[in-house]
Amino acid sequence: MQPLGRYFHLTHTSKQMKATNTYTLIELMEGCKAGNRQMQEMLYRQTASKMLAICMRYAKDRMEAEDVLQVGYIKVFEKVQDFKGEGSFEGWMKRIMVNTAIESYRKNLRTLNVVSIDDNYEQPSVAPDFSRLGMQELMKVIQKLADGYRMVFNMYVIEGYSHKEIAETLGISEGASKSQLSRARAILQQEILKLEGFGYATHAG
Amino acid sequence: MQHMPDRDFDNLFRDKFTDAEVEPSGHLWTNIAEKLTPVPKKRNFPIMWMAAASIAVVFSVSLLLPEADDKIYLQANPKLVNTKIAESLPVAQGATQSVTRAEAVLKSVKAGPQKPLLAHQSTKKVVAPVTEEKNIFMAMQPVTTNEHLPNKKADAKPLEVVHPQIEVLEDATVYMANHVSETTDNAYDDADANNQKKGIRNMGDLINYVVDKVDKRENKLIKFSTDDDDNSSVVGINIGFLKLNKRNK
Repeated sequence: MQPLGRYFHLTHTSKQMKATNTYTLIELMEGCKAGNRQMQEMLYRQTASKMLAICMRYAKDRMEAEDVLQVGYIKVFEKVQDFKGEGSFEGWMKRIMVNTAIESYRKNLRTLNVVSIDDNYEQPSVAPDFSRLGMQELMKVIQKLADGYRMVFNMYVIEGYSHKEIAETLGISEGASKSQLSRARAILQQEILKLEGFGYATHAG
Repeated sequence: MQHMPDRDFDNLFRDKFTDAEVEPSGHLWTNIAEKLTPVPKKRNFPIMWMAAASIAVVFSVSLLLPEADDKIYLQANPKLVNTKIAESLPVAQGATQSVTRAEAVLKSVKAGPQKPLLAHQSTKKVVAPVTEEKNIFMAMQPVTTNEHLPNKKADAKPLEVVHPQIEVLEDATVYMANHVSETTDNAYDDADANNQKKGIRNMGDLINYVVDKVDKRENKLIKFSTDDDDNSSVVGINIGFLKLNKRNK
């Protein structure tokens, strides 16, 4: 009886998996171009967690991140008609999310002059140990950054924008972009070290 | 340990965040789906309605121009017209344009010394030669109504259907309709002409009109007959092998 039971279980799961994961991203994309609601939902189910992670990095909290996610997907489904197949579809979707996040930031702009309390950003003499850190913790740390620093850090380090591009997009000077990047790095390292249990004893003097 | 170089710090961060996933809350898709619903549908509808509306407008406009009536009847009754003109006072002013054309027309007109203004005629496609029968009609026709027509039609061109001056043509139709009914039509003796005498009164007549223009057979694609109560009914259908017609045709 048991082998039979397992057989049934297997067929059942494979049926379920077939429902959502059989389609490739390209197929889902074509389905979305046709306005097929089921395809739209399947695309969402397949990609939303990655997209939300991007939104979480940029937003100051989960609520803003979810707003950005929803607006982003609506844009994806509207603009999919214009996607001509140049480059990866996932990359195209990610860019939409990033742009939506930047829009959200600019809308709620607190001046870039706001600095975090930890403005004494002397370089810590101890290097953080990344091996013990999970992505979730880093996410928390990054959200502690002031908005402007966070934007610059994300765009430069993760998305790979140049300082010139960052300056144009955010409406700041290239110099400001560079200095804010340095500050962001320093603060992040401090926060990580705090997480890892190193106190202020690491600072020189 | 030393302070970590920037490049290494960046790389480590990047590694952790590449392909990172955060599970979204359940209600998010519902929110998105709500806002998506109107988008796919609204696209084509306005265009279709606009197209339908413009066709309807074109149709109505073409119906309001009864020059077809003019064409049909004047082939039968230009003599009517000609005699009237012969009888009427010359209406020369402002008719220089049409005089030259009238000259061309004059050649085919035999009766009478002076044909002052054939601008009126010049709107018609065919000018039948005037015969001696004109005398028969003279007594029947009042002359007065003729006066204003030539004036208004002074700038009409021959061999072309007059489009813009709708109010004039309506007068012509009324005029023609009144007089045609008193004569027996030689040329157009079937039900179509009879229907068109009374104008297009309803959908059946409208369809007949259109089908007449297109289908030149005896038994047309589809044929309506309109009785005196303005009700139409189908009296003939000829589509492919399906041939159903009124017998007394």
